[in-house]
Amino acid sequence: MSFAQIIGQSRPKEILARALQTGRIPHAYLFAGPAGVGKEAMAIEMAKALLCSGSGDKPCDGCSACRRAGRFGHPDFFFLFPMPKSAAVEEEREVLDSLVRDPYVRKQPWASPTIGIERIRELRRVSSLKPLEGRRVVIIAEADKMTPEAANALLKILEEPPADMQIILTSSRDAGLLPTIISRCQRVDFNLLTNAEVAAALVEKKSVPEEQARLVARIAQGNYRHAAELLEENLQERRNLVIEALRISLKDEGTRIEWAEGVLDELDKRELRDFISLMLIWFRDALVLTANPAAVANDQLVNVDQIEVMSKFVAAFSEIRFEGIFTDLEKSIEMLDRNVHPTLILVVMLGRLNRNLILKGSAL
Amino acid sequence: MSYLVLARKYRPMFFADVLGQQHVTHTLQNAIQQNRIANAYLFSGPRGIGKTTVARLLAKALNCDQGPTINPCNTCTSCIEINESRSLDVFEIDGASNRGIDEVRNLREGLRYAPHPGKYRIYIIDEVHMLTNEAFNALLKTLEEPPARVLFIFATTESHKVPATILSRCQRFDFKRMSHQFIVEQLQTMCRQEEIAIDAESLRMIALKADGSMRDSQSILDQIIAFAGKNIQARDVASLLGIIDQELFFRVTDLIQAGDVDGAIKLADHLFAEGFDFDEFLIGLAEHLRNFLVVKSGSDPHLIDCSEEHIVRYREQIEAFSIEDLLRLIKVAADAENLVRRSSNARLHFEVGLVKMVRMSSSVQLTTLMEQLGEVKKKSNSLPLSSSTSPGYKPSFLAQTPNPTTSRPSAAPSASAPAGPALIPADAVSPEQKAVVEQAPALSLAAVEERWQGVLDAVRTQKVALGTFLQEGWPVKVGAGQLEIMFGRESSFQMNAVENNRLLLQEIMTGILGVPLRLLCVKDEEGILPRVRKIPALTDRKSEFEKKLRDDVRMQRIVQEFDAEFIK
Repeated sequence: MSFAQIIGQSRPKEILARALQTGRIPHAYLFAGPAGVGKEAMAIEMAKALLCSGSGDKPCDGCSACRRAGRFGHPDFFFLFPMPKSAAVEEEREVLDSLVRDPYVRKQPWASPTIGIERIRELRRVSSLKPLEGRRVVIIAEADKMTPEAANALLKILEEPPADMQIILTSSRDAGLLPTIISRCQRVDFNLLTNAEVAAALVEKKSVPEEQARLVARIAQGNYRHAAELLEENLQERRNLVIEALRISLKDEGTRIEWAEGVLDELDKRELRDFISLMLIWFRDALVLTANPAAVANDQLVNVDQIEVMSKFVAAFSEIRFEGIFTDLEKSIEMLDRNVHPTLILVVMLGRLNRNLILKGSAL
Repeated sequence: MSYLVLARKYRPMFFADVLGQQHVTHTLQNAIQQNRIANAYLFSGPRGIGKTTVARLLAKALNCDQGPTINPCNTCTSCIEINESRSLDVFEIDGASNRGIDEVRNLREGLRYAPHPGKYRIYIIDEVHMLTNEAFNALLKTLEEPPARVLFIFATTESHKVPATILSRCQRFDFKRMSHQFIVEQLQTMCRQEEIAIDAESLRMIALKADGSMRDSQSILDQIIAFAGKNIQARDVASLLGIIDQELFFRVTDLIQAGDVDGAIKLADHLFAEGFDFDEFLIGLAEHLRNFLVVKSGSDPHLIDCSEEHIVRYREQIEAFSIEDLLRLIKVAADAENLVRRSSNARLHFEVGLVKMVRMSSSVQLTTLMEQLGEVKKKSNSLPLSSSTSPGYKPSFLAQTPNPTTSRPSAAPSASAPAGPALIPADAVSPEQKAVVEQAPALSLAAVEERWQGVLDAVRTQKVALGTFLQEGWPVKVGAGQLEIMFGRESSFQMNAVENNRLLLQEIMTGILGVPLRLLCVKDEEGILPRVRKIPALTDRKSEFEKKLRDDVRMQRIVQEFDAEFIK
């Protein structure tokens, strides 16, 4: 089957391959599904397939059209993504280059960029001209980031584009799309990847040792992009930090504040979010372990290598108020996204943790 | 390219093909026949039900070589040109891209020329709600009295964004959402023409998902054909549309009842493996809980959109949940959905959400908690305040034994006792103690009024602010174990504060008045408060103030520092 570059996603692959075979290709696709599972990667592959001039399975990856599209150098291939108006051409190129390196990890150097109406107007202008090589493909990545003006301006082209134009929208937040946009597209749903798929891909694409790949895959929970990002970080150190945080949360307020400030010198905002997610996963594991000690054997835990610490941890408390802890950790992530001061978040989080862990009398 | 999506392929070519919008097509056809064409039309309504289609039909009908006619021929040059959108007299403008005043000015320039070769110059402005304010205003004059033989047709999904001045210059047609039945019939015809085999259940599911929009239903059908080919089974449709079996939701509620965390984790794993959309699942789950709520509240079970068999199951299981439980579960589901949708870690948040719901069964019941609070308060407050407190007093509104349906199979009662061992179980009020409440000696209003100042003072010793709030009210009625306190219309803030502290106040009052009373705050709607309220006369207060000023050094300093004087 074609689309060999794409991890998992057997159903979308099947649907698109069949469309290519039968020629029943709708003028507009919407690739919807969670973040980091390969919607953009698939869109790029699909674009190559549509532009491909080779024979046999498409995309052939051998013909000039495929190669140029793969480098984003094809004159009939447009890839729009959220980017500030002021962004320089070089910056745009840098983002596209990151996609050439790994279509799953698009570089995103700006704070909450959007797709503005001027880019859609440009698209309209282009659409009135004949494509240079027979067919034109437009990908709008993160289509939910279009401004309302841009989204409305897209409606008319999206409904009846010129016969030689194909549009693919991708979005991990389709609730943010206008219903009028969704109704004009043929939807293809993408799913989260399985841990095995992510692990195998990490081994193959990033030549990660197998054991580490499995661990990272479990933490990333079906999100390949997140897994790839986690590789860049020192995961083991982060996980030890979680255990340290648990220990600190039992200490007095002064110690907690001091520790929090020390930690934040090391972590930026995204890393802090990942760190809190790691804590959430830790407590999820602890809960699973309490509910069913057999979980270890059933491969239901993420932190398999830390079971010993975890069982000791669980045993040390007369009560762990899991609901409260989950709510607090989730709230911390939410606050972080809303730009609340990280120190405040971390200090409050540790304080609440302290109250939700009720010691039996012995420290961890 | 030869392939067109169904929505474009089956765009109606005649008024007679536009089904489900007879109220519009009829009116327009009559207008054409009687030659009473307005100079501006506004078509509004939800997506995908025929607004743009009818606008184009109207243009063809007016400019057709045979026309104006109610049946455009679709064969003459004019009709063909319009179909291929290259007519010189019909301008289909995308209002969302051409939204500024400059575009409108350009448009007005063009109005000076007579239509040729057609009979009308027609401007179809789609998505008209996206025009800027300036653009709309620039249109006003033209729209009111356009040159002869000029027709404007606006189409929009959001007519509320169109200024009233524009609306009033147009003849407006509201397009209706299509019924499920109607969509099913249409799809059936379409499938027959496309030679696609499809069963009734599949059609029903598609129509349901399309939510009254023809184009949505066609897009979905396209999607399914792309997946399943020419032979469509209900199973394919369900899996492709992510339609979740109601059975799974019942499993969640079973898990919640059993408090089975392990089961919840396994279920999450199962859903993940099956590729369900977590987001959709949580929305469905909230709906499922809402169904319980409908049954619980005794509303018409037909407000639930599901089969009879499921309604029976809702009825059977309803005893397990109280309304409070359901509301809290729905909130957890909604919160989780929010997180799942925004987070890059959807699976984790989904799992945690499920676990939270399951664990909730072991957390404290709201009603029990309130009763326990009452008990604790009584123990800590009433003793030093008064000796005449009846020992078994419980505020009467809490004295009702908790609804048996609210007590859930609590999996871990230990979790419900964080407040310490002093708690008395809620239903431990003995009949004897209840009798005390009922047989309390009658208390006259006059007696209460007499001791009112005492009450206020006692409240102040506990909570100064509350005393001040309570001061705004006045007791107006005593009876049946209940004391009504009236507040002036302007004091609703104070009244709320008092109501929020009702438990505390009741304790204190019981101490002073010697009888347990339920506190009831009423608003003075008729303005009788000034008459009944026995406040010390102004002169008395003034002399009291002066006395204090003489005796109290601090008072003197305050008056000095702030240059204060007596007002009331």
